[in-house]
Amino acid sequence: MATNTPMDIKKRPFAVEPITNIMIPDGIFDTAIFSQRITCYYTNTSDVDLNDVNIYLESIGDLGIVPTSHTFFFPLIRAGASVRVSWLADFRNGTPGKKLVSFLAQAKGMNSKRVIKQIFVSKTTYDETEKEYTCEVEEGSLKVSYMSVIGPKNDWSDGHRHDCCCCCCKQGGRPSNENLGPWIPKAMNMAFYPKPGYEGVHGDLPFSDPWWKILAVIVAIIAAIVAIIAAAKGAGTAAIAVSGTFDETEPSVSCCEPDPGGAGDIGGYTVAGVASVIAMVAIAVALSDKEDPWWRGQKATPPGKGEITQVEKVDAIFDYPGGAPNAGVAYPVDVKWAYQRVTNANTYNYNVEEQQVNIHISDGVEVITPATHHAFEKPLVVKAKFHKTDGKYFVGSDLYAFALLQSPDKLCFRMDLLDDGIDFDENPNDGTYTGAIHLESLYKILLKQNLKLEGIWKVYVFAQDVNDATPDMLPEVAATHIGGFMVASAVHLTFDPSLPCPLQAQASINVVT
Amino acid sequence: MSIELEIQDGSPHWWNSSDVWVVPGNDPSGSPGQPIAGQTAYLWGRVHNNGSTFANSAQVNFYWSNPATGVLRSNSTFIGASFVDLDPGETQEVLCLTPWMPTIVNDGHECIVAEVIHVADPLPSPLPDAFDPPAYLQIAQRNLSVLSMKTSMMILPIELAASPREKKSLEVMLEFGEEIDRKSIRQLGMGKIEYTKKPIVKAELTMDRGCGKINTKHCCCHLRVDLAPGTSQAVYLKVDPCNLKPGVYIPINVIAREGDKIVGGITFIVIRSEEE
Repeated sequence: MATNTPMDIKKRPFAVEPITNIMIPDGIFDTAIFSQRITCYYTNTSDVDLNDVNIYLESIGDLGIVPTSHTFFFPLIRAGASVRVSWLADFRNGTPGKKLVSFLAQAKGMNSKRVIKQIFVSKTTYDETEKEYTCEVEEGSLKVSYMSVIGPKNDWSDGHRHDCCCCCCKQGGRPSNENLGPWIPKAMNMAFYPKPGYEGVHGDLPFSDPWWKILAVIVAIIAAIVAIIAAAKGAGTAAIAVSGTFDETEPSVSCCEPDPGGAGDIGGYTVAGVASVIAMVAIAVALSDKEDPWWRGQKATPPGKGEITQVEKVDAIFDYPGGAPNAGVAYPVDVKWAYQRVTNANTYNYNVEEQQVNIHISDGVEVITPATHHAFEKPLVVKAKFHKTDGKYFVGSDLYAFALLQSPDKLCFRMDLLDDGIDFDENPNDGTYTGAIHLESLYKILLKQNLKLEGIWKVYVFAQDVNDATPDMLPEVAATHIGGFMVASAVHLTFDPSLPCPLQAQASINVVT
Repeated sequence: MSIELEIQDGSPHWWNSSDVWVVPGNDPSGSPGQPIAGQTAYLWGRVHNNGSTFANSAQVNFYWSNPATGVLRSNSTFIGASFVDLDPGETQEVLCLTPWMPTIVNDGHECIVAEVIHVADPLPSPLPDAFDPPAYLQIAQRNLSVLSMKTSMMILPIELAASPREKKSLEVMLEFGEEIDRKSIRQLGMGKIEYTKKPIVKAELTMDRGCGKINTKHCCCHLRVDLAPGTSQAVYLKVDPCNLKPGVYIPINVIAREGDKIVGGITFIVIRSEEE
């Protein structure tokens, strides 16, 4: 009798925005972004290799989320290896909440095995009249009524109200890299309206998992990447449900803007998206992974017996004493926040002023490439090792990693980096993430655009950590596990607007024919 | 080289397919059972590839409709869809994760339909309004539910409908059915229960919703119903559990014919409620 295919998904599937290729913070899907990739790591949980494995997405527990069917085929999945799979889905009519998704895996000679996992879906909207974002989840809604940011100098010569859509108009309808951010958060006014109001000290966490602050990061990311998606899709194409608007920009400080060299191409959008994530997750850093201001505020303001908490406001101001936030670096953020609990009988306040430090850090990335590569002989292989701070490496499903490969004329191509023991990746889970691309396949694309194949190609590597919370964790424990932080990035943010954000290639390859 | 997909019809009555079933509750992997009005349920289907070619990404659609004899697309509600891959000769169970909430007004006595669609094994285009499972291997219907009775009579409305541009002249008949296969009984979440041929209930089919007693003794009867295009009408099944005892069941079939063709049916498995 055939046994069930020993494949499992150990970590919650996460959202990847396909234009920028970035994971949305904590992997949360938001209906404001119409097209997202449902991405997950599928692990061979046995101690034997599996042959001829088919994997497909079977069903989603929300009629409003429409996936594209696709079956992944793996001739071999080594014992213990995790393969990355993803399905494009249209989320525009999705509803907020925890949604079930079922996947099937079947290896040759084995029965298929179904895995049912939850994904988290929020719904962000923008009220043009009230100038207010609302991020809805089943447990309530977070309203962001004010967002002040530090951004590229070119974008706010007026010093006030930066509206991406207006920028688009100023640029003649199609935004350039000049208005794609990044925007570093400076202040936010937020209010969480629990649904229903609750009695006691603590209300329900969103999705019974992340802190409320993650909803604030989601809103900020959406506001930041609206322009990127609009630029990529072109005017008049429905791709996102909100307009990106920040209320005020900091006139005295500006940050750099990315310059990947290929404005308007895949590299430009990816780098802009990465820069947005790096900038906006500073909110999550400032509001602490251990316990966020809502949880701490709740603990500090126990309401009277029988009182119903109706709204919890947090006004926060951020400052960056060590310079702009950057990926994988323990940068400090000075934060002042004021929590206010409004019940049906009283109002309670709690204020905090402190410094938080980014704990999603790495000890750098080591990229291995050939010094010279013969374009038509074999695929170009890129290997990357991401160092943890404890001397070990990130391995397998720890990271969502990819690279940009830039041609001598600065046209970029994206490459997945995987530690799955497939093709050119020698061993699964050994900390070496590998990508490969045959430059022969890119030759036609370059020729069409009159671009060179021969010359110096550059490699830029990026990685985000993957949320490792498990369903059996208590909500307040699961909340401390947050994913989607950039732990490695080739783009660096600075508060020097006179130069582009440094984009440091981690490797260069001399390509010959 | 072909793909031939099938969701098998029921036997002896095609509307009682055991290739479509319901899992009530919040766990889609739970045990099959009877849908409970107002509570979440999940639908499953079983799809066979009788062809000689791998079927990639076949789509399985699930629908529900009010208790009815002939089920139409135009009076059914789409629940959700799933994908399935099938090797030649393979059978796969397919789960629809869109939660289904049986409506309170139907008390869980709802009809479900599953269809499998693949570009290499298509349904006709344009799609006919009637699902017509006997005509298409790709479509099956489950119109089988448990009627759990206490001591008083129950009256159940059954919908008869005509497609928007087609009149119908139906003969609707009531009959006491034969023993139901164990698989279908298990799928309804029923434990040990025995079939009986004895006249333990009275039943009547009427056009009148009135609460008058059933005068006929263990009878079968039939009605003639003419429907104008695009209209629907209810007939009422009255069931009196006069001698119904715990641990036994009797099926009641309501069958609709149009000329010589059986166009639909619905089966109620009548049992004695354990709650008194």
